[in-house]
Amino acid sequence: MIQDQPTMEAENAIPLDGLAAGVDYLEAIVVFLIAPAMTYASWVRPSTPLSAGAMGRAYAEALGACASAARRIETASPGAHAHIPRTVSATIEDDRHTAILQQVRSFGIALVFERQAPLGLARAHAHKILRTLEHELPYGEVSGVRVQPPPSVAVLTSSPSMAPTVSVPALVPPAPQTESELEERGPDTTDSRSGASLSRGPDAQRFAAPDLDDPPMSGATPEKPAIVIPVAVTEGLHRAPTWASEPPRAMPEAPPIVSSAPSSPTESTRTRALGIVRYVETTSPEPHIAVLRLALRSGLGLDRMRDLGALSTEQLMLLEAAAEEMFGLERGQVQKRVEESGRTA
Amino acid sequence: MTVTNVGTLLRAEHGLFSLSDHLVQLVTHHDSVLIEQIVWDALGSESGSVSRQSSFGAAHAMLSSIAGSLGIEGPTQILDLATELFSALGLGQLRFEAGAGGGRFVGEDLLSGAGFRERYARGARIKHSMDAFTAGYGSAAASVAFPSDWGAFEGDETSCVARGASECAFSLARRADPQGASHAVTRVDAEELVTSEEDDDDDGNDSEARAAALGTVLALTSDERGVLRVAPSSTANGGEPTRADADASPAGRCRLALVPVGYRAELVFDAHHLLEKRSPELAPLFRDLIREATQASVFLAVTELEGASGMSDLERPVTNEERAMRFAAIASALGWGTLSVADYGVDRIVLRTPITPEAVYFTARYGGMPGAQMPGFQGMAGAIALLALQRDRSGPMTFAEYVKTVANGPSLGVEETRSIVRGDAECEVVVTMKR
Repeated sequence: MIQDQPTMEAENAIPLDGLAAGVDYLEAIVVFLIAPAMTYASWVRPSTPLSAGAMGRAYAEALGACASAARRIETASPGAHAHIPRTVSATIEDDRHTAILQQVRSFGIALVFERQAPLGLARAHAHKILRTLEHELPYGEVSGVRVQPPPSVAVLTSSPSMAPTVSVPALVPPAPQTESELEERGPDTTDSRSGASLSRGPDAQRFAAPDLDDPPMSGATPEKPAIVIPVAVTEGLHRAPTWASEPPRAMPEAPPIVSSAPSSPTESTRTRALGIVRYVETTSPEPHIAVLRLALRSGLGLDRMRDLGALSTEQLMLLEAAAEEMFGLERGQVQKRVEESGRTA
Repeated sequence: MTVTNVGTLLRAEHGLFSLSDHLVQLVTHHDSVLIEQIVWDALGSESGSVSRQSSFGAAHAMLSSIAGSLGIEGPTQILDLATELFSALGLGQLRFEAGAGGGRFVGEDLLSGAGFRERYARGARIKHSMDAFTAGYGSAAASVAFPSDWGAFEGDETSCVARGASECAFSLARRADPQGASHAVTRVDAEELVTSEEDDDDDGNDSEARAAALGTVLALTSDERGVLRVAPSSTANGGEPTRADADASPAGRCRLALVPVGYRAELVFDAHHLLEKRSPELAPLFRDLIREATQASVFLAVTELEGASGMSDLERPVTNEERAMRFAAIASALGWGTLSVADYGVDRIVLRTPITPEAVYFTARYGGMPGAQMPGFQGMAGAIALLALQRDRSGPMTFAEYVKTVANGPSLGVEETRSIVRGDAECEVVVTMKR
């Protein structure tokens, strides 16, 4: 459950206060991740009874719906391959506020003005603020639920004030429009129609200047039921990599999993993470480096993977998304297969 | 298409290969596929840009140089040259449908895309495109063929067999943005680093095996699909691979190709540099994986060369040390430097080489640097250490057998004790083996 308090703190690297200063009619600036829908940073005018957390979630869903609609329209049109929208923007007007929403890579930005603000003025202010924020936000992609590519993960998580506040183990439910879209798609259409493919379209990647404007894809995984996995399968995490430029550090032995009902969030996380690692090890045609690749791809590194129970929910999602990327699977497929193998065992 | 064996294209000096003065090196599809994947793991979707830029720079310099030295002019002729060269180097086939304003090109049997399907199962697929190298090469060819002040071409892979498509297709569009600086690596750069005359003594060397392996490599000829493989000793037609041989690839035979040193080294070092800046804790992991890619590639290539028809007259080595010298000699025919075994013990092996392609690239681009590491050389040393322990094995091994060998073999530790990048006279790696 995302807590509602604003995540913008004094030490936050994005100077939202400074951006808001002197802008007439501006009520709030909310920076949010589109998938999973969560507030990333916010500034709300003190006298305004608006909740940054609620706005972040709601605007993320709205922007996700807009992106999905735009994508469907374009892909259903003749010559769709020639132009697939990579970013979307939207304006929501109600009787109290005018909200200008803009997608910036895997983020969304909402600028909320009082309703009486002239729309042209609001747009002019919004344009200026958006231009600044576009450079401030980390580069990343939303491929599956990948919040950031590995190098940027550390940026996101190393600063607690910038990390979304999420309690373990529940995750934010997926944005409904993208989830249903995933279900509608057949497996073969994934690469050409999903958000992941949009980042690889003809206009997506440029020399020297990585353009990571990805549309939103699916949301986070809903909480999964308990998994039963035979402990004996996984050895990779307890075995030092064959190639070791540093002296290998022994991994702690995993306590046996005796129950299918994890009794604590840590155990639940560990069970799920262990299931993913085992799946990767047993499925990969290169098992001797599968865990190394998973550690690199997820951005977690081997140290974090040595203590799977200590992974945060966000890190667990990264681990799962990395496994899916490695095998070219759809969102949720690894978890599904882990559960199936657990039932078989 | 003119059938050309690689020996007519290459100059072999100091254990390095050059093509029109540009250094190239022999890799297998395992190396190319895994390195593409590792860089993707490290950089995400940015990896495509890094890889294409490395490829573009190296290919542009090489093609411009070859076209200039051969006096080839005219867009059609230059594109024909690029297509034939691509095929002769074992990189697959290209077909251009492009003009001065842009267009597209199609690739078949590409080293990375088709190599992905060889390395993994035929039904395996991933979500990203694999052929950033070809995208860079094709756009470089089109840029040389259609030079313009309006900028160079940029290639984007629009469909890829690794993603389940039936072919690899690329779009070509001219971009006003200047391309990144080229870091072509030439034999002149290499010669500046060689401090002494080539050592011809047999101390630590199996010069007979080295000569035989080099002869085998230089006699390699790509087939009509642009695929280069070592002919097994049973091939009756004098070493030239047949269509049947090429079709035997799913059985696990290695595919070989010559790639510009500038491309591979720039990709690895640039990706490593970016990762070090952003997530330094992941950099050792990246290096380990690059090392593993080289180790697997050299291991398999050496076993294939060992089983080639040209090698059958050599006496079989008896001791582990002799085996290590034999495999070091064969590995020296891959264009990665002239390796020699300086010391062999029960649990350690010391390998030396006067020069490596990585070191040439690194010093040409950055100059000397204390602490710099050459993961490719380290991986080669690991492969030779592993091979030396295979008493009962001879002839080609499959990737699955390599994986088993690694799983059941000793844990390897590697230390690069000397390097010309650090100012030493030669490069040296010590591999320790722990059971």
